[in-house]
This record gives sequence, C-alpha cells and structure tokens, in this order.
Amino acid sequence: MVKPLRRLAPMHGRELKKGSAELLILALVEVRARHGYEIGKLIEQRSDGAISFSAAALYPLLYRLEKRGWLHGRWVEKPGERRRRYYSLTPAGRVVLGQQRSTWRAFAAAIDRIAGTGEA
Amino acid sequence: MPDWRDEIRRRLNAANLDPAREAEVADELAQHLDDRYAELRSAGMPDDAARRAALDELREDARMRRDLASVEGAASTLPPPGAPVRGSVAADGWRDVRYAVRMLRRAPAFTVVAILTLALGIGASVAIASAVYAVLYRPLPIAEADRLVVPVSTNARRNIERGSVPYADYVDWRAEADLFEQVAVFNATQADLSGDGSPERVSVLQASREYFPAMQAAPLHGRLLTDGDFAADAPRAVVLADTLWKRRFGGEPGVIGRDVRIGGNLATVVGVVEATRLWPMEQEVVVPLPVWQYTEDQRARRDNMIFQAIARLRPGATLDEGRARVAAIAQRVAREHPESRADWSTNLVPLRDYIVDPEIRLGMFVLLGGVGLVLLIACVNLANLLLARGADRGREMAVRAALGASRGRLAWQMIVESLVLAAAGGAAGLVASRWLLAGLRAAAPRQLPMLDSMAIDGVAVAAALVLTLAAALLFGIVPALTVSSAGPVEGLREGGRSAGTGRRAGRLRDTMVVAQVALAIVLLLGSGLMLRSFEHLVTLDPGVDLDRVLVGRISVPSARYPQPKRAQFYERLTTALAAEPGVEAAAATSFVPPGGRGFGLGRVFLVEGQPEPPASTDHPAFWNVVTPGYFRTMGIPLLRGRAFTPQDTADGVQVMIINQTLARRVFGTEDPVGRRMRSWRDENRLREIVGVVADVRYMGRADEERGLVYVPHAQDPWGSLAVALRTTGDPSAFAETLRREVARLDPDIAVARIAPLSALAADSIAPQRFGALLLSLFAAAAALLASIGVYGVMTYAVTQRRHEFGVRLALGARPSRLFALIVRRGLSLAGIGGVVGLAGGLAVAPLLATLLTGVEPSDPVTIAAVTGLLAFVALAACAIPARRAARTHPLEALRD
Repeated sequence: MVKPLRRLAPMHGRELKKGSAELLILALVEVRARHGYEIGKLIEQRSDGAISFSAAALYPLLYRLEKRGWLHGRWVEKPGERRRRYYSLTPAGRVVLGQQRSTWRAFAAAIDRIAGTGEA
Repeated sequence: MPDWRDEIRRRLNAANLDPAREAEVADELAQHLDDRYAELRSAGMPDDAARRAALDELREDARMRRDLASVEGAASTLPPPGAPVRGSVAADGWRDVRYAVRMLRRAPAFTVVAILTLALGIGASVAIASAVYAVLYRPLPIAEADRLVVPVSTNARRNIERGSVPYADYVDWRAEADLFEQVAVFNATQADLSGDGSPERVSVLQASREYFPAMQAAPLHGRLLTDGDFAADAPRAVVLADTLWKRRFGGEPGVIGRDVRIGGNLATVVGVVEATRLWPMEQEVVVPLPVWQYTEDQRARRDNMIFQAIARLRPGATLDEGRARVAAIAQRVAREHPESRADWSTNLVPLRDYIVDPEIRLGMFVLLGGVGLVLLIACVNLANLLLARGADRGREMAVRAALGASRGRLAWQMIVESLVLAAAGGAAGLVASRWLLAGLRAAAPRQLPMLDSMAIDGVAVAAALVLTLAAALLFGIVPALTVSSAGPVEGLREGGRSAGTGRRAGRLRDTMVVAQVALAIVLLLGSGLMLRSFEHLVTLDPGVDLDRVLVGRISVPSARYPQPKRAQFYERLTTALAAEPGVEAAAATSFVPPGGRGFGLGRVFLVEGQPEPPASTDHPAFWNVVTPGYFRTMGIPLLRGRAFTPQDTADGVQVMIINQTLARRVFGTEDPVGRRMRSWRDENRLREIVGVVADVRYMGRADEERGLVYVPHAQDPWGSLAVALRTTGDPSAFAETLRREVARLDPDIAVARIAPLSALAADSIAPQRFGALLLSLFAAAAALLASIGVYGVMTYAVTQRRHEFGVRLALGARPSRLFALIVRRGLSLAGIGGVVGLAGGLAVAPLLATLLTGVEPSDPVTIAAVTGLLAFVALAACAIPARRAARTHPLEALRD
C-alpha cells in the first residue's frame, strides 16, 4: 500500500501522508510509549523511506493528537542526557485508532480492487 | 554537541507561543536534532555537514509555526470536523466555525480579498438601502401622517398633475365632514423678519385655522394659533419653528410675548413648534392666513389657484373614496364654470408620495438595483474563487471522506466557511456603510427629501444581516456542493484533483463568468444611458448667459412701500448697482432661470379680438415682471422689436414682451410686434407687444418649451423680486456690493440666497448628476469585478491545461496559436455574457425612460460604447493568461 506512493508527484504524496499520518502515529505508540525521534525514524524505516516527517512537521502533529486527548506525553529524565518526551496511547486514542484502522482497511481494499489490478 | 536552541527559538518566534510552552517545545526539538546529529556523525558524516543536515529537519519552519500556532491556540480536545465522532449540535457548530476560521487564516490573501469585496458590496448596499428607506419608507415625524393627503388641481390638457387650488374649492372640501377630519389651505412664502437684530429672510407659512389640528401638532412652548388669531381685528400672532427659535432667539422660552416684524408688520410670538412637525418642510414661521384681507371675489373665484392644501382623512375613510368625492366636486364646478374649469379636476395625493415624487422614487430604486447588481457580481466572483480554492482542497475533502465524513457534513463545513467569511465581510461592510452614507449625504442634491433622516440604525443593521446571509448562501452553496460531491475513491484516485476541476465544475465556472459579464453589461448600459442623458442636459442651451451673474432675493414690505415707492426702490437699486465699478448691468425679476426658482406665475392670455373661452382656447404662459435691464443682464437675445426702457412707466402705454414659443403658438409666422394681448382672467388689461425674445429654460435645463410674457416692473410693481448683476469678474465677489447697496437704501431689508447664476443652474441638474455619478461608480465596480472574473477563470484554465500545452508545443504548435486559443475562449465567454447582458439591459432600460432626457433607452451610441468597452476589458483580462499559455516551456510543463 505504501510503495505506489513513490510514483505520486511529491505534492500528492505529501497530502496523502498528511491524511494518514494520524493513523501511522497512533499505530506506532499502540504497544509502547515512544519519543518523537523514534516515531519519525520508525515511520521512515517501515515505509522504506516512502514516508518521512521532518521535525517541523512531526511535532505539531504530535501536539495536536495530544491536545485531542488521543496521546499522552510525559517527560522522562535520564542522567547525562537531555530529558525526552515519551508519547503513549490514551484509551480515547485507542478507540480512534480502531476506527481509523478499519476505515483505512476498507478504503485501501476498495482502492486495491479498482486500481490494484492495473485495469484502472 | 551543537547547541540548537537559539536557532530553534528564532524559528519558533512568530508562532507566538506562551514562553513556558515555547521552552518545552524547544527542548523537545533540540533533543530531536541531537539525535539526528549523533546518528549522522556515527555514520561518518563530517561535523559541518551533519550540523546542516540536522538543521534541515526544521526546513519547513513556516509550516511548523502555522501548525503550532493553530494547535497551541486551540485548546481543544475535540476531533476535527469530518471525523466519525459525534458531539452535541452546539459543539459541532462551534467547532465548525473554529475550523473555518483556521482554514481562512491559512489562505490570508484569499480571505482579505474576499472580505474586502464583501465589505464594499455589503457596505454600499446598506448605505443605499438606508437612503432608500429614509426617503421612501421611514415614518414621517408628523403624527399619523398616513392619513394626510394633499388635494391638488389637475389638468390633463395642460399636463398639470400637481396644481395649486382655489380658496373656493377648499370651502367645498371643508363641508365634506364625514370624509375629512380637517382641510387646511396655506401659502408658503418668504418675508423679512426684523425688529430684533439685522433683518433676515425667513420662510413664512400663512395657514388657515385648520392647519395645526390637521398636522396634529403640539407646541413646544406657548400655544399654537387659535380661532381668535384669525379675526380681522385681532393682534397679529406668530408661531416660530424651533429651528428659527434656536438660531435667532437662542432657544429662550422668554421669546413668548415678544414683538417681531414680519414683512414689515408687527406681530407677537405666541408659541414655538418643532419644524419637523410642519409641512411643507423647512418652514420657520407660521402666521394666520389673512383671509380678512381677501375680497369676496378672491374667495369665490374658481380659477384663483394660488393656495396649497393639506387634509386629514377621517379614520376609516379610504383614499379611493376621497378621490372619487373630490373629483365629483370638481366635475360639478367644471359644469358651473366651463370658461375657467373645463379641463380641470381634483386629485388627492398621499403626503408621502407628494414629498417623494415619482422620479425620485424611480431614481432611488435604480440606484438600489445598481448596487444590488454589484453585490451580486461580487458574490459570483467569490463563488468562483471558492470553486478554484475547492479544487485545491479536493484532497483534503477526499481524505476526510475517507475517514468517514458524509457528503452533507463536508458541504456544511464549506457553508460554515462561507458564513464566517460573509460575517466578517458584513461586519466590515456595516462599518463601511457609515462612511459611505456620510459621503452620500454630503454629495446628495438638495432636491432629495428626508436627507437628514438617513442613518445607520436598526433597519440598516437588519439589512446588513440579511445581505450577509444572502451573500453567504449565494457564493457558498455552489462551491460547497461541487467540492463535496467527489467521493473519497474518486478524489484520491485522481490525486485529489477531481473536485472542482472536473468537467462539471469547469462548466459551472464558465456559467458564472457569463453571468457576471451579463450583469455588468446591464449596469454599464444603465449608467451609460444616464451619462448620455446628463451630457445632453449639460449641452442644452439654458437660454441665458450663466457666467458672471450674481443673483440675490429681496422683498420690499408693501406697508412701507405703497405702489409708486416700490417701483422707485427697484429702479434706484438697479441704477446704483449698474453704476458700481465691475458691474456691467443690473436688473430685477420675479422669476429666475434656469431652475433658479423665484415665482413663476401661470396665466392665460387672449389676443385682442379673440372671444373668451369656452368659445375659443386661451394661451397659457408664465408672467414675469422685470426691470428694463433684464434681457441685457441675463444675456437673453432680443429677436424682434425693442426691450423695455425707463420710459415704460405706470402711466404710459401698457406693454409686454413675449418669448419665441408664445409668439409661434399664438401668431404662427405673423409678426406679433404691435399686436395686443390680455391676461384675461387676471389683470385683464390689453398690453401692446413691443418685442420678442429668445426662449429661456426657466424650470431647469430639462425644461420643456413654455410660453413667457414679460411685463415692466413699473407697470406691475411686485414687492418680492430677485436682483441680478452681470459683472466683469468673479460674481461671488459682488455679494457685499449687493448687500451694501440694499442696506444703503433701506437697512431693514435683507438680501437672501445670494448665489452665482451658474451655481443655481448646476444645482438644478444636481439630481441627474448625482444619479449618473453613483450609477457610473457602480458600473465601474461591476466591470472591474467581471474582468477579474474573466481573468481568474482564464488563468485557471491555462494552469489546468499546462501539460496539454506542453505537449502541443513539443509537437510543434506555434505559441501564437495557443495565445489565440485562450483569447478566443475568453472572448467567447465574454461574448455570450455580453449578448445576454445586452438583451437583459435593453429589456429593463425602458424603466429608465422617465429619467432620461434626449436619449432613447435603446440609444445605439450607448450600446456601441458598452460593447466596445466589454470587448476591450475582456481582451485585457484574457491577454495575460494567454501570454502565459504561449510561453509555456514544453519541457517544464511535461516534467510537472
């Protein structure tokens, strides 16, 4: 599902990315809390580099999700390092993640049925 | 490890975060950059390059600031619109509004243009609507004014619709006690008020005893006129209007009981009344109508039409019933007096309609229609802008639809955005309307009634609200439905471009441009006709030489100036004035052209030997009393015979001079000089015609041809005349000369309304100038908006077809062909709009007919000019996008 993005014009990729970014972030913190750099890195790695967020794009998004009550952020301090902020999924975030996931699956399946066979 | 903080702080600067929050965000970003830097260094990148690459994480800093501002500014825990989470209706609405504000702030250029356009459109509409309301609908300050009617004499043959009435008719109407509560007659005149400071010319209303009861007026101080004031031997009483009371008597209540002189006669102030409760407007003094001075003949004659009347209908009596009753009385009178009343009837005109004549009413509606069209065009423009924006937002909509938002939900969000936009525009428009209305009042001609009651009040606010809502729906609904109509699959598959870019949306945009052009053409045609009419008016020869003439009015009290002294006063005055250095000629006249007012006395004439009506038809003409230098002073050419001389004395041969029109109507091609005529119903003295002069447009430049009779003042010595000076230089500089010479002869006589004749002439066409000017402003705005519309659509089309143009050019098409292609398309849209607009404009133009002088509603010159203007504007609007199309770089276009 991610590969075809590479062939989209850059602008389209960006817009699609924006639409799906919430889903990606929520999914990445589903199992355990992660800090921003880690989230960005994981998105880039798991999409084979098709999707990447700069810090300038990523953090406002994280704050937005936090404001909505879907993520919970807390500062963690370790000796000899700057403090880091870790984000975890809230119960409300879990509900939204479930809804977005099923919507996305249905949508992706529909796209695939039409576009995936090469008959489009 | 580099310290990133200063760099981060610098880039966060404009997001306006709370300082504590900014420190936190900076901390987190710094950590992110540390991580990135460390990773790159460990991969072997040199320090410098790693530092730069890490900082590259912040390259989209403008977007970051915007996003941060919007996230941190909105303390929300709610999901975005379109997400499948349900809240309360109020919360939904509020969220939609906030989201709309955010979306609009993201496109500041669009938002500012849209709000400005709306502010001007709504502001101008509110200002004009307020003016229309004030002039046509605001209740008059007079109590129960809807029951007040003005009885008028009508004469279809002589084209008289609002003639004055004779005293005898008033006596008849007064007897209809079951129809009228009161009927009053009055004379609105001018006289000098003196006895307390320098003499001053004031408006004097001589009213019959029913006047104040009919107006249902109450005194501010003292009392109004009572029956006792109307006795022949009663002390003379006067009621002051509060305007004069404040201006001349400092608003002192002690003025009651004080003696003043009005027109030389001693009178006692008995009361003060609000001027706004009186009619006609702007009266300053009310005195009893001196009925006791009238002869039995003056009271009984049916053709002594020198009074005005006002009547209050009984509650329940209808206007139609009243009209039928007074018409029946007029019929009876016509049967009894066929010689004088054969073609006359009586009508009742509601007071409001009397104040606002049909031309002013029509003019106001034309202006309202004009400004409405401008607002409509502005809305279509905005709809087009929104459609184009909708094309960019197709992806946003598609994603939201993918996340489960219904089509209605998305359309609603678009409408909320339109409402927010319209609300901002409406609020700005309301503010603008105050300024616009102030400008309107300052520029409005004096002939426009109720100017002072124009204000931005509750009615204006309501109008602004309605216009705002209507505008929002007008420009919001089509883009909303179009943009939201693309489903998620369709929207994403085409990369989010289908919404607003599809064939249907393209057609819609074309249709809107055609509509804009058509509406603009209607306005251009209307304003073109008004301009042509005004141009015609200005070029009409008024019949007098307007330059270097100063006019002022004086009134010589008959009590102190019995017959021979009155003529001597004016003779001395004009002689003295003519002898002043810089004065070429001086004269006095009872009637001042063009539109300079004075008193145009209508009389009817018979040639010597002609039988009296109904055996023959008499000739109507105005009666103008003048002193010998009149024709020279005004520059009126003498065509035959001679002008008046000082030898035309009271005892000499009775003479008159007639104008060309009367000479032609009465004598045809014969020479009138030497023939004799009489004003048979009035003076009834045969006068020898000694000369014929050229026509003059006395009632203003648009005046029709009228018969005029001039009589020497020595033979008919009126007390109230206008004095005119022809000067060698700026006439205004001679105002002091005029005042000084009058004061030298009699310090108790005031000179009123001193003005250059050219200013009086300009004043007489001020309404036409005002209408043409406003409508032209509207038309210019409409043309500008329509050309922006054409430009926008063509630019958009060029952008959309860039790829295609690239292919064409790559395949060898010549750039000039692409240029022609775009221009052709733009011109054909404008052409369709032009044809529709011309058809529509020609259909409504006849409505303007009564406002036009010397121009047909289907004037070919105007149509040609409008068509030419349209072609020019459309061509200009297409040229820029067409040039861009022709300059498409094939490689770049294909690469995109």
